[in-house]
Amino acid sequence: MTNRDRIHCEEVIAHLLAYLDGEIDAEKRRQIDHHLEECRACFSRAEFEKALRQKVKQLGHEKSPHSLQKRLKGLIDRF
Amino acid sequence: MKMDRSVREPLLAAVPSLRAFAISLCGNVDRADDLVQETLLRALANIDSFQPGTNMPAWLFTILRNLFRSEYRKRRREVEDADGSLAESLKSHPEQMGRLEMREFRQALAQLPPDQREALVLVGASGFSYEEAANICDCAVGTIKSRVNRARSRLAKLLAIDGIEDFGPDEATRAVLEDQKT
Repeated sequence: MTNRDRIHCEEVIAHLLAYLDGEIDAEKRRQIDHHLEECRACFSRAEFEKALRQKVKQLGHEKSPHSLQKRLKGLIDRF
Repeated sequence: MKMDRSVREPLLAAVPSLRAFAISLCGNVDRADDLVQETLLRALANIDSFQPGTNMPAWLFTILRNLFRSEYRKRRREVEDADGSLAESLKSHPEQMGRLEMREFRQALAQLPPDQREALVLVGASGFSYEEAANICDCAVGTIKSRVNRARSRLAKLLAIDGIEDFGPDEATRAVLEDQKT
C-alpha cells in the first residue's frame, strides 16, 4: 500500500459504522482493513463497536421468565 | 382445538425479542410483559388474516409498536439522571467493555431518545433489516439508518467514548504516522 492509499484515523472513525455494516466499497474497506492492522487506537475503537453490537444483540436473546412463558403458552393454547 | 404448530412455534419463538423491544419502548419490565401478552392476544384474534410464509416477526413487532403508541405512550416515564450519578457510573474505557455489565449497558440504553432506542433494538437486537425496521416504524429507510447510527454514537458517548480524541493514535503510533508522511 502506498502512502497515497493510506487513510487517517479521522476518516476511519467517520466510516467505521458503515464499515462494520458492510456498506462501504471494496477500496475503502481495503484501506480501513489495512489501517486497523497498524493503528491500535482505531482497532480498539472497532473492537469496542463490535462489543457494543454484541451487547445490543444479546438483548434480543435473553430468556423470558418462566412465569411469562407459561402465561403466553396458556394464552396460545386457548385459541 | 390446539393451534397449528406452524403458527404456535413462531409466535413463541418471537417472545424474547418482542420482550426486549417492549422493554426498550416502555422501560418497565412488568409493563413490557403485559404489552407482549396484549400483542399475542391481538395477533391471535387476527391470525386468520396472517398469510403463512410472510414475515411473522415483523407483523408481531408492528402490532406491538402500534399498541404501545396508542395505549402506553402517555404513561411512559423517562429514565432521569438528575444528579449525574448515573452518567458518572457509566464512565469506562474501551478495554473495559468486555467487563461492562449488562446492567450498566441497559442504563446507557435507557438514556437514548426513544426513536433511536427503538431503531437500534429493532436492527441490532431483533435482527430486522433496515427495510423491515422502516416498515415497522412507518418511516423511510434512511431515517432508520440515521437513528441507528446516532444511537450507536450516543451509546459510545454515554460510555465515555467521545470519538477521535479518545481513539486517535497514541504517541507512538502518531510518531510512526508522522514518519510515514515525510
